Amino acid sequence: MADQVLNVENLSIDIPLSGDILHAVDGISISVNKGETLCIVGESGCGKSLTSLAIMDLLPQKAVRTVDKLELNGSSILNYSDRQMSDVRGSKIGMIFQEPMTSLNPSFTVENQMVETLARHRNIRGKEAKKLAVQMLEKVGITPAKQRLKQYPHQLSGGLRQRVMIAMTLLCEPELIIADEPTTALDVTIQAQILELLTRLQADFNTGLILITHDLGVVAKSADRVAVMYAGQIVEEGSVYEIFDNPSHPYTRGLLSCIPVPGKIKRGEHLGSIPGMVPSLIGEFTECRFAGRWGDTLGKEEENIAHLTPIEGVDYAFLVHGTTDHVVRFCCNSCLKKSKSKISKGVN
Amino acid sequence: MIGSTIGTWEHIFGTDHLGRDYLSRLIYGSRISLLIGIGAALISGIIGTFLGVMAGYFGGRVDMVVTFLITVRLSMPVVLVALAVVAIVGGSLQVVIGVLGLLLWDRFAVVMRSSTLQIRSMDYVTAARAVGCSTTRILMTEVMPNVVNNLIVIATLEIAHAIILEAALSFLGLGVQPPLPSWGLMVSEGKDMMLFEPWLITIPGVALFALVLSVNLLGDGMRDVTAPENRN
Amino acid sequence: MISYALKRSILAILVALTVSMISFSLLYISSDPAIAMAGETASDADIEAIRELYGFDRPIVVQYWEWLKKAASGDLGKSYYFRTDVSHLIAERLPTTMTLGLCAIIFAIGLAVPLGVASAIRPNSIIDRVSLFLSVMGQALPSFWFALILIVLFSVNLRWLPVSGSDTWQHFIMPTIVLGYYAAPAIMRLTRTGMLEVLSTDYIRTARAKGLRPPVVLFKHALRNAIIPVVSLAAVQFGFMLGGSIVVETIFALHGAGFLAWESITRNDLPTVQGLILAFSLFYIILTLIADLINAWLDPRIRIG
Repeated sequence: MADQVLNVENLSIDIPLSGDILHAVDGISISVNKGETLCIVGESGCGKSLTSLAIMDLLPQKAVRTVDKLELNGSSILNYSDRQMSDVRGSKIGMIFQEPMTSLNPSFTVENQMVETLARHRNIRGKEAKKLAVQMLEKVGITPAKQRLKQYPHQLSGGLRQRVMIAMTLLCEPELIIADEPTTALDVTIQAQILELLTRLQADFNTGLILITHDLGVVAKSADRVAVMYAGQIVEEGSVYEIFDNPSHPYTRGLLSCIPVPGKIKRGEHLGSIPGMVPSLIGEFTECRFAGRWGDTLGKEEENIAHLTPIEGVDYAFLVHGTTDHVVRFCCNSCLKKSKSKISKGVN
Repeated sequence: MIGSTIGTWEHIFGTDHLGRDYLSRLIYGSRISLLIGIGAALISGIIGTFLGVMAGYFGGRVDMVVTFLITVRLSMPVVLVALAVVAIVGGSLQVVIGVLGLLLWDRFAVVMRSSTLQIRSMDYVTAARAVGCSTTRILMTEVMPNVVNNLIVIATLEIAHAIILEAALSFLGLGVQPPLPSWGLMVSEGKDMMLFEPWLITIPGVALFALVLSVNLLGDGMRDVTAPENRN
Repeated sequence: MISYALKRSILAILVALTVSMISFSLLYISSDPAIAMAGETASDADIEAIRELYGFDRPIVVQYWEWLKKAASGDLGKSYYFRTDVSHLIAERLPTTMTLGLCAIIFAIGLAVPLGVASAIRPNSIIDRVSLFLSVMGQALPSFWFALILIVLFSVNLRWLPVSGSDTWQHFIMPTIVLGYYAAPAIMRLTRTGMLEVLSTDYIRTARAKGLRPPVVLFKHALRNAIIPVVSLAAVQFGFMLGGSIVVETIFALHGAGFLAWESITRNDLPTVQGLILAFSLFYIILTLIADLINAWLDPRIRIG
């Protein structure tokens, strides 16, 4: 694919933990195209943040990353040395973190922290660098930009700091931006602004965007494609319309049913929730990862049963009948059976 | 010089310049070092803990005064003042213990103060006050048991500190006076002959080093046991 | 920032006054200045005469006030032993001690900070264990003994360095090492702890995500923040070195203020001792004041507020 920015195949992350191994991420594959927003959704602890760190090769020292393919714009960055990766980070892949309050160095000005990226990756310094920084600050909606440049992070509000982070990430015009819950720590009103900003900038620069979140509202608003993560695996992925209109994995259905819709929900009715807890990912799995969490996901109506077509060569992975890219994965046979999905044979 | 010999069965470590058995002096010297170390730490511990806990618990003016006192004490050149006082009053075991005790309380005060501040804001103290416990009772039953851990750690470190200081004072001739066998004094007495009979300074030096090292390690160990998160 | 500096300065003056008050009382109450001045061979009549002449029979408070007035204008009295102005004496000897102290603290920092940084980068590695080991050893080593060992080793056996005096820079090498090594362990541990903490912060993660090269991340971003508490500690240690200089200078016969202290103490030269205590404490106070100000300046959150 000519405009595929990122291709990750079969990524696993293992962390040794007092004698045993925590399988934080188990064989996931994702891809992002230019100008496309992929939202990775899941509960805390499902491995979303670790996935983004793995792509950047910024995992903590103890963690072990195994991946079959890791391609940026078609070329493999899998075996890049630390030096080569540091060239990629910040210039080809940019990252925005969750906590704007602590993500900027308190001892340096905004200008200093922005300009050093330009010096590092594009060899632009001095007046020209400052000019570019001012322009970028204005693009993210910070005015008066010149004054803000001279300020220190503690003088800026959370929303402003996040805008500075975004501006800083965009300075070198990366091809891929990974935003790890960029709005979670902000006020709801600011959240909407930041999201809008991100989508607008993405269109302007035609970057690929991976947006990691646990908020389905954000997904609905910003995503082109969605990957639902659970217990270290991607259980469902497809376009945002498919996922919301036709959720085919019990977990996705459970997530969607948790959203209270005013008007639809009657007074006194229980709010939807997924029973049970995320299983521990330490050691090998003896039972289904979704055990005990089925709750009410199957519903009573016939239309809730998913029609699936198996994908050749991949265990437990299915295409939703009638689509080309809506994929569902089950963790084991018992899961598959319990979901009562209708499996039809034949190539799609 | 009279018989500075080494390694006979009668005198395993030899004798010093006055013919006294070295090993016995070494052993008695350890008693002196420990006596001074523990004595000074005891006195400074009482002073420092009292000041620190008062400052931490009552805050306000009391805290201001104590903090000022601590700053004054820190600004005083300890070695200089200790030397001067001992020179004037005369060197003896009691004087050295007293002087060191009156000068080394600052770390106690600082640590006790911050520990007490922490404890004071805890819920169980507020609960005790709400129930109407008297201040003394609260201090005795709620505050003290919880700061004792830090207290023990600091105490061991200050014992080591006092031992080293006393050795330095005695070395300069302004600490424990002869014929008492302070290790510092032994090094000083031996230094004239150190080129020919290096054991005269090596042995007490190593003894000092070993004692201080053990006390320090004890303090570090206690710190690990009582508050492992404080560990470096 | 200005008001902070002002407040600290006033506090500093109060502290200096209190210190001088305490030391004055200690010295002049516990000994008889008249005897000290007259010398041991003087007769009772002479002593009495001196007592009246110099007003040693007046209440201590009055005596202190007199001393203070003169001290404020730079007159610290006359040395009983050297028969010259105390302020002259001290001014003459202080530069040597300052030089020694400066060299010692630079030595300590030069040794401790790199070790602390290296230990933090690779915790529990060999270099980490070696640094911790050295710091534990260093704190248990008595300075006067260390000095003697160095003398035996380098002056006598190897004949590399001179033993005593203060003529050439080689004379300062061993004293610098002896004075400096004691401050190194604390600085090393503080650097290590600070760096460990800073290296796990979010903004260091951001710096790495920006693709900055490791030395830049380490020295520009991390060390800059970790060093802040170390500055205060280094200043405090520098202040303590004055006390340590007494032992070191006396052993190496370096003609600095520390040696002067020992000389005047053993000779009961009260004005000099009092003057030295004042000088040492003022030095410490000014040093910590500067350290606090540097601290406040280094941290933009305090500087700008």
